[in-house]
Amino acid sequence: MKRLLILVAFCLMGISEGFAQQHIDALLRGDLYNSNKSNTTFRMAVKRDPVTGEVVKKVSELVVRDNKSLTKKLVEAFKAEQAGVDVWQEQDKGNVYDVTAIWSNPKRIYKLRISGSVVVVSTQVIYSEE
Amino acid sequence: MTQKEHIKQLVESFLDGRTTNAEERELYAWFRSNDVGEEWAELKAMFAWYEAGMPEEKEAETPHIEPLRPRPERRGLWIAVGAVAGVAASVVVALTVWLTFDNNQHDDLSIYAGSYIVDGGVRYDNIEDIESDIEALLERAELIEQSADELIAWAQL
Repeated sequence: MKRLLILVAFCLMGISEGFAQQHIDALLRGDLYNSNKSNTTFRMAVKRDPVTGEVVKKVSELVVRDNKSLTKKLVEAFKAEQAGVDVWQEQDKGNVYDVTAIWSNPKRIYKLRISGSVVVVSTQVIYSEE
Repeated sequence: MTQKEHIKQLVESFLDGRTTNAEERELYAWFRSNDVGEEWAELKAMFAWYEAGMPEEKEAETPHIEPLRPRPERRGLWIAVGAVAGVAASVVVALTVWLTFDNNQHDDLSIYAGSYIVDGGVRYDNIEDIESDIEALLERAELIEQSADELIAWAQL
């Protein structure tokens, strides 16, 4: 039976950018490149203002296949951030587990999706609205 | 149009190098057989010189007049020079268009500077090669952002 759990937390307290989502970022920077390289794909898109060249948005996507250890670490990293997010949504639909974490100033949207043995972590930092 | 106006037009065409052989012969004949007066005296001498086959100064039967245009037999040379110049100009224009297009393409790609993909431990950071992947990723991010905005709006209610 599918279970649906949605928990949304909205915090008015601002979170310092230096401390927000540090667990997830650290994981993406570290373990990704050190283990099971053949089962991971990491994409980083940097979008810049065509006139000024300044970064408008940074988007990353990590796809991990058949790596229970890294999957567990990613879930733990997301859970560790829960207390400090501005908006948190968690959905467990049985075969698909989704977590969305959102911070503001700058706007950061982190999403974790586990579907079977495939894990996708999407992150985006929006420095200025287009 | 009077005869004189017609001749004046032919002279202008001659000086522009646009006259046919027949028109040039007409000019030579007209200037040879007409008293043109002081106004066209120089032209009369010049056409006489051309008609005589452009003799060297020492052999000239008429006073030397500085040619007002390249000598007719050199037209071929000037046409060749013009053709080469035309081809060169075309090459410059084509090169400019190509470089402009190429620069625009690089400008377009430079908005993704810093993007990369690591797949199976291999890093790819040539933007031209990964451009479609990067754009697809940005489109997926756009959808996620739309969902996130809805979530934020819902949470703020």
